[in-house]
Amino acid sequence: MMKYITYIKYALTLACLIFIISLCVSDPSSKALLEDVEKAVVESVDMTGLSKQPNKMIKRLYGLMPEEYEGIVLYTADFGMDVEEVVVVKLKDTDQQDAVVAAMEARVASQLESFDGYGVDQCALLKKNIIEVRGNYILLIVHNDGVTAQKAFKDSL
Amino acid sequence: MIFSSIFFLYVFLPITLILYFIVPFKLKNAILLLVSLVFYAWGEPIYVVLMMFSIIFNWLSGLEIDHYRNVENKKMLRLSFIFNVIVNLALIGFFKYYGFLVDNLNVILPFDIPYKELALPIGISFYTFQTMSYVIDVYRGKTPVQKNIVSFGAYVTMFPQLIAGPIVRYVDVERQLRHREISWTKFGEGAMWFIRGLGKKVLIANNVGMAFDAILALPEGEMSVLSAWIGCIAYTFQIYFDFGGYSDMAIGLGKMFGFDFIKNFDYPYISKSITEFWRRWHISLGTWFREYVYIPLGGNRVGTAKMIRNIFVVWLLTGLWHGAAWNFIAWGLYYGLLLFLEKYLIKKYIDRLPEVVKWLYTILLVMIGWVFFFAPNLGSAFSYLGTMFGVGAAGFVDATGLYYLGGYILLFIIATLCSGPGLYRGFFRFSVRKGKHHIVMTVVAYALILILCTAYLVNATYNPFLYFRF
Repeated sequence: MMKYITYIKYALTLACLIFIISLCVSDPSSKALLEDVEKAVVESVDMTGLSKQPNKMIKRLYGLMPEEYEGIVLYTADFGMDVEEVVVVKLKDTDQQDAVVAAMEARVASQLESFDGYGVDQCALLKKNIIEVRGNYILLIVHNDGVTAQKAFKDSL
Repeated sequence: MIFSSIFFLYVFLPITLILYFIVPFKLKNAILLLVSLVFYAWGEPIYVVLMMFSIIFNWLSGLEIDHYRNVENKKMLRLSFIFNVIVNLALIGFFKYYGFLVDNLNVILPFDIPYKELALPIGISFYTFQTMSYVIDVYRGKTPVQKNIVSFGAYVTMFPQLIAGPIVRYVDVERQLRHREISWTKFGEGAMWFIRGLGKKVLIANNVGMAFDAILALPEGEMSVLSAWIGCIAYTFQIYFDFGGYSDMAIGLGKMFGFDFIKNFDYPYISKSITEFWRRWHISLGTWFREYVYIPLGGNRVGTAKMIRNIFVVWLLTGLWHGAAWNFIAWGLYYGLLLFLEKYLIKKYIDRLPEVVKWLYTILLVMIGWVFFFAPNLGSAFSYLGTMFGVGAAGFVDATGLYYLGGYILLFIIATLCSGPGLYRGFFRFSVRKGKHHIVMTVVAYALILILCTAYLVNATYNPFLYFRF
């Protein structure tokens, strides 16, 4: 009996090891449609005062060329003194991750510089930004309820 | 899922309580296990597999170790125990420390070791320490083996303390898994603990947390000494009411289900020495390290050099347990050094000081320690400390500092009052006095706290939990 317990124990350990290795090497790409991910994210938080932006704003604010990606959606605040922002990028290739994350970080840094010295609340919100990379999807969220949007983003993939 | 959320308070908890109370006693552990797995899977649908592995693996290990103890096969007993410890430490080591190790190696090596960063499974530090406490105690013969996997699973996964403690040692709940008092009185006590904890978390911690976040967001070089101290004070309150509040909620929930967990915080901010502080702060973690690291290393019963070594090993590990980063290691060693100094060099001087001075000495050192805790890295920690003492600060007092002081002074006063036992003891004495109106007013007070917390949770979008990352 004890022999079987020992075998089961070793088999379990091996199974756990295989599970962890599979997590490490798994292809993180999601087959979810960009529209579905966008819908999940924007419906999870209060989007009052934010509007969807055209491609030229994505180029202007992030320096990213939407045609080089599967798709990018951008929501920015209507009022200039607000800093809420939502960006969802679907990559064509995971090699594009670094460039997109760098662009997002640069955007946040630029916003922080703009509000430096007088926009204490805005700076506090910008510092709570979340950049979530999931394989071929990347989310940037600057929002009081960023964590909820992040969860919705992850769940939608 | 967190306790301080509308979904948990008004959906998950009521359903769980109904299920738990309608089934006969022999099925209560099974219900607890089931709902706890649901609770965990809610936030970790993938890592719930690891949790289940941990339950089955450690349960089997317990059976195996008990068998070898009974047949007095010392070699297999030792091998089985070592294998179990290695697997448990490897699990927590990989998820929590592998990235840190690789990052630091990549700094010194001429090539980069690639690795994929995996999310840290919620609560892994807590439940791994719990399963290890069980196996170690079975190995030492301090507790009988648990032959029922459902009861063992209920112990490991028990959702009240699963994701943020207190770390419940198996020996402390073993009897309660077989038999526990479930009564309306205990349920009521549990509800009061829970509501007090909820109030601490939602009404105090979340609000002082906003002050802290705002101060931390101040641009570099624009923080005055006053602002830095306000930020530090805010964090000092936030971490206590956040973690202490959550622990109270866990203890309260445990009581509702008939379990008695040990207190995890005993008004740590009234301490008059660092030694006393660590008898009052995160008691379950201190107990675990004392029982399973300090004492096996020899504890106090070795020569001075080894005792000093033991202190620093424990505090290095305590710092590491809190996070895989140099600032946490520094934080742990900082306390190791202070405790060493108090034990060997300065105790007689501290004992001679007036009580107020002793308290000031302690609270200042604790607050300095928190800077290492909240800073993203060591450099930021020293920079912030410098600002607190005028180095690199934008003056001593500025408009921003005065603004936050004015805005949060009342909350700081309330937090100070709630940090000591006076308020609670006074309220308790009032509530147990004879007279119906005392009972009514007590119930009204608790109901008010619950309603206020609900209102805050419905309205607020800021509801962090600091100790979630462990």
